[in-house]
Amino acid sequence: MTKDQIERLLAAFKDAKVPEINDDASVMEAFVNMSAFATTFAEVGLVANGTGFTQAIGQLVKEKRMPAAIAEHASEFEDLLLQGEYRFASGDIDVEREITEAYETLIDALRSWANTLEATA
Amino acid sequence: MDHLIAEAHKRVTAEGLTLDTLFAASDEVVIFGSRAAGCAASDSDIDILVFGEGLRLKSERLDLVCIPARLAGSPEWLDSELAGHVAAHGVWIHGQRRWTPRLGSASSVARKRSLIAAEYGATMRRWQALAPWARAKHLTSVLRNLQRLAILDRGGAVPPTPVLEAAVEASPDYNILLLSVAARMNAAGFCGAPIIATDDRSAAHA
Repeated sequence: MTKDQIERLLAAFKDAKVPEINDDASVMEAFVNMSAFATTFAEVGLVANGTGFTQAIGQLVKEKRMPAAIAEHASEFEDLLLQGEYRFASGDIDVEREITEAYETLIDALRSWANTLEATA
Repeated sequence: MDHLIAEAHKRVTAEGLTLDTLFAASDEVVIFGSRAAGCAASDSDIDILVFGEGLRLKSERLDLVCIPARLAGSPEWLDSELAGHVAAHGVWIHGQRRWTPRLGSASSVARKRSLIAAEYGATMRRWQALAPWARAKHLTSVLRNLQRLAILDRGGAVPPTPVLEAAVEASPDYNILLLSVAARMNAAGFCGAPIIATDDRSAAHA
């Protein structure tokens, strides 16, 4: 990867806010953020255009270009987001903390990965 | 129903569980979604609902939704869109339905409105950061939820997604339809999001 590509990745993750995910609106923000990350992955040439976020992470891990732990974090986060739809509706308050923590973990892991790329570029 | 149980058995087993485990953990086990409604694609997952604890599982083959047993008769559950859908389209493979959904509840309608505004608003705010396929994906999701809102608003049970998809497939130009939805929402000030340039046809090119 070129330095410019890495800088674009770093910028994408640096700008990613980790809001408290406590309602449907914040879950939707997170889903759209994931699409924006997927867009960045494609723009810097890591994956083909149209590849979704989780699919992109899976591909990069398979190609050994990204630590496997990130795929686990991504999968856990996406799963929790999907659960959020009915867990918020059914009054399950634990879901807020679980989703926010999973998002934080995922973004931290992606930032670390991008920093590693920068350090080794 | 036998073919549904066989399909559920196959997919649950593939995930290292058994139907007996689910039956032991819950008084009600229900298959819902497109498989229960008989409109699933060959690669569709199977949706199973149980009332219990800690049985949540999501994979390409199986979506196991677990509603905490203590919430089974709660207003939150009975008012939810999912409860209405499951009651109308679900197939009970264990136990029987012991609850009655409150279709078209004010809370489910309000929640859907809020969800639509949130996704539409987030999509508009991140518009420049989204590739055309991602813009189309989220606008399509908004469109689906508008369809669901219309059904909830008149007190109906929301059908599986393939039924909603089929309803708009007849549109001569799906991309134009998406743009039209976005333009109408902007015009209505649905969420205070910026106006989409009406000539930005790339918005809807998946």
